[in-house]
Amino acid sequence: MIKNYLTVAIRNILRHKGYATINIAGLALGIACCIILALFVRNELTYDRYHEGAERIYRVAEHRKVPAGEFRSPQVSPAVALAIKSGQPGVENAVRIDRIFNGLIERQGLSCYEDRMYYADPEIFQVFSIPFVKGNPHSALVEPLTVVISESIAARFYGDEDPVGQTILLKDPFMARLNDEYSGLVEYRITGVVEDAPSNTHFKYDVIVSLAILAGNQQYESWYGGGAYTYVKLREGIDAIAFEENIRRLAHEFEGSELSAWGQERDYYLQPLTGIHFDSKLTGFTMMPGRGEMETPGNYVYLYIYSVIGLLILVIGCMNFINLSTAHSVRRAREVGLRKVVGAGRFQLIGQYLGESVTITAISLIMALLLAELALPLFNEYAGTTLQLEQLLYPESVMAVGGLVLFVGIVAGCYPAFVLASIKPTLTLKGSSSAGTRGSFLLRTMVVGQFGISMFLAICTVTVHQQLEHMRSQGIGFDMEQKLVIPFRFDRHVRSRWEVLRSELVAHHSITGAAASSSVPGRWTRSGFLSYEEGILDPPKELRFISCDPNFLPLYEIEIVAGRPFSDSTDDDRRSFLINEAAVSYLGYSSPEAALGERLWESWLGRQKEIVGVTANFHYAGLQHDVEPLFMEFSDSRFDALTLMIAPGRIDEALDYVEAKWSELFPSTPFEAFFLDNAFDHQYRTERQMGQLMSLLSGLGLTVACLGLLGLVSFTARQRAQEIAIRRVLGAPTSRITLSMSVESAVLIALSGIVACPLAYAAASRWLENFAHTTEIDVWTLGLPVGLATILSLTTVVVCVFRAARANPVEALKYE
Amino acid sequence: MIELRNIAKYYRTGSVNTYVLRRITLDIREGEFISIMGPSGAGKSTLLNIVGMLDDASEGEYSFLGEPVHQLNEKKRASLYKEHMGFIFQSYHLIDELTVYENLETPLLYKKIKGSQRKSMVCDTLDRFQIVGKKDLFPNQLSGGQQQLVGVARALIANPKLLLADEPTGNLHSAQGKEIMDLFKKLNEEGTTIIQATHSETNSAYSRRIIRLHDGWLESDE
Repeated sequence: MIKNYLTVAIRNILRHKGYATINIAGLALGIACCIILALFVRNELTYDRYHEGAERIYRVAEHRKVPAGEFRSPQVSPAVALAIKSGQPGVENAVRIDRIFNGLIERQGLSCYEDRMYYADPEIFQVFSIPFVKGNPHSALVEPLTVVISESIAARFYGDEDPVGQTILLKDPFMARLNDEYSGLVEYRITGVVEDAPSNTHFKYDVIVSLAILAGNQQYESWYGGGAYTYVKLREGIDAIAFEENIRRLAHEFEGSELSAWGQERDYYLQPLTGIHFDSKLTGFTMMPGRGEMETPGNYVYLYIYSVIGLLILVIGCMNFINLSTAHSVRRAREVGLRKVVGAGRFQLIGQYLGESVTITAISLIMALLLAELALPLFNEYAGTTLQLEQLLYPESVMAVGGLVLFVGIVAGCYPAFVLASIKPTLTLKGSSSAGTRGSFLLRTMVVGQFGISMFLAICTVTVHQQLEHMRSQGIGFDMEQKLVIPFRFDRHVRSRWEVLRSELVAHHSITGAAASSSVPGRWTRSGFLSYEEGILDPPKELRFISCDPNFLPLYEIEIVAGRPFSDSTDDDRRSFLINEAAVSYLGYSSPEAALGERLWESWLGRQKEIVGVTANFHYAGLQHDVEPLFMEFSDSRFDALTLMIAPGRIDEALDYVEAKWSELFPSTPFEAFFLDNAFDHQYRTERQMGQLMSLLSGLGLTVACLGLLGLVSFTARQRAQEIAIRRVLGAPTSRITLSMSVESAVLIALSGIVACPLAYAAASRWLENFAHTTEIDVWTLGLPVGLATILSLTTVVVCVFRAARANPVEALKYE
Repeated sequence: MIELRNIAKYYRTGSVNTYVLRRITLDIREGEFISIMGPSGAGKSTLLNIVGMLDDASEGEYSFLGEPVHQLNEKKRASLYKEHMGFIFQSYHLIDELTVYENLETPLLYKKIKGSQRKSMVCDTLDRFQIVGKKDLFPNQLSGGQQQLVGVARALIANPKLLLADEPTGNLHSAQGKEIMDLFKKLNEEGTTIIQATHSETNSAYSRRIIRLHDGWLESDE
């Protein structure tokens, strides 16, 4: 019996290859997209949960108030960890992790900057679950000048060799402040190789360096300085809230009264490890680079968006499957009737068709898994994740997927199973067309749903792209074309010779200008506080600073609205400020001119600077944010990048020259350069990824929806074959018939548009609320996708209907 | 075997009932070979479908082998039908996706006959109708006459008491038609009760009793 059913099912698929391919592929695509997005969402939601005892691990954060403002920092004094470890019974372990900003790795002439390099106490392997490939986690970082590297670093620098026991050279440009002995390239011994960090942890390491050379350093472990990420693993049953009190008490004991004498207040609190990714958006005090969160925090909005898109695509796929199956099953009405005639009972028929449909759904599922497996490497590379299909292997998801297959299979099989099986065989055997009418409401609803969702996605996609375009082009206030940036990476040697580098490079004919600055638009900017001689600024605010030479403003085409720019000739400009218009209004002046001549104190440094000019606002931090008050100074000790203006069409030539010159001047330092426009765009990576993903998915959705429509149209065309034939016999022209049959589809598509537009408008507006500067949702935003979808779908319809209308009427009339 | 009492069949069109069959009363004994004749629209197929339980009568009583069919539920009726009847159509109505062998096997599957017995029954039937060589072909690879032969074989495979045939030779040319009718005659002689609906006087000559219908009325019964 089952064999008989399977034979029929398989022969049916083979006989209608086109239909079966579309049907299975549509559903498989939907499920595959959904699987990948589900993996992605799961990855986000399981951040740091894989660590053993993750719910007992907390990060210590501080909330500091200084006279000129306040900030919250995820990095605290390295002394905190020591205090916690020594005097606290509830602590299982604690560890300090300190980022090495702009660290350099070198081995046998191969050298590169490494962004994921950290100092850590040896306890790191007790607090976090970091699997060792080689080496002993208990002794790995105990000795000074030892280092543990990830598998990918091992592969890059050692290939097939065993790195354990070998040496590697590392450089921490900031070490000079603490211990001059280790300020240059230092030789480290490799004591372990660990697995690469998975994508669902906020602590993504590649090189973990023993903190022993800093431990015991009075300056480093001062209660007033430094900043190390401090994690504490509490014993089971210890209440975090009560423990927070302990930390406060301890800190108070050690810190003494000096802080309050400076007018500062400090409060410590615990952040659950598993909540860091989404809930912690601490900036720290960005006077120093490398402060704040270890990686860009997650965003729930995008998680919701991806979940919703995943589900919508799945829904389209399912609707398409149900639609096509139903439309196709009309062809099988005769088979149903026949089976009844030869003795099939109703339940046997229902069993057969439901079983068949569930089998096809299961085939789609297998295809979907294959597709997902094939697409995951691409997705991982694109989104920077390490997702694997096996991660879906837990009971809930297996049940969810199984339930889905069953559900879609049953709904899709319903029409032949219940509707056709209940019709008297005499009707279906005559090939009566009336057998089909009962299913068409379902089909119409599905088509409206599919197109509604597709249009919704398309409108959202257009909005995302418009917003990206808006952010790219709308008044950023400076010019970013043709600019090559050479970062100094806080290398003291490079920094001290910036003028030499600049003059050497500008001499070449392919380079038309160069300017040194502490940062370039879109990159980290230093923050700090300012005050008047007589008192603090009101309201207190963390302010942004850029150091630049006099060439910076003309090179970036930033407009001066009052006063004068920096000049090379006056040494005085080392004690001058240029401020932007936002700073003018923050400081409370009525006009830019009024701000000129004002003196401001840099309280941290005890210096005073005079405002000599005001620039127009420019978006140095990207268009997601409003332009904050900016103070520009001419302080070459802070320079960290050289921006080159490249003559049009001479990019390759310039790059070759710059690299050659760099190697000549700084033979031991690796050369790096990037184009400003690319780097600036990188800020919108999340948005751009979403835009691209949505383009892909809405395109897919629309394609699948068109297939569904094709199904519906051929279904009705078959139903109305006789009517069409009669009209033809009576002399109706093909065009007339095509028109009259397309009207219904047009109405359905219009209906989808009416449903989709307001929903999409609402969703897009919500998303745009995330941005300080937004594009407008206008008629085009809505009209363009809807129009395109309409044209596409009506073309589908007309082609299909036209073919039906052209058919030989004799064929359709013969059997009646 | 079959007793029809005042059978009527009508369809509601608007507020009027359009009658297809009117007050048909008929007795059919086992072993008979009956032709139902009459012009198009006389109700031949409808009467055949009612007798074959593919359709319900609107009024009247129908008893088959002593069972009151009009009172039975669908399940009982289906099993009665499965057990005792075979149906043959003008346009053969074989399942296109199945081979000749599989088409013959299908009714046995629904009767839940065991695999080995099923196999021997299908082989016997293939033998009997001399279509062993065609067993792996699909219906569209056969001529009309061959398809109808398979149709007859499928109707007979489970040894029904009653064979119902709706214009069995309507789509065949005369030589093929004659073969089928000879086969019917032989089957009847072997004991199968046959009721056929036909236009053809030639075909009706094979039967021993002719029922003529006109506009739904039973006109004559010879």
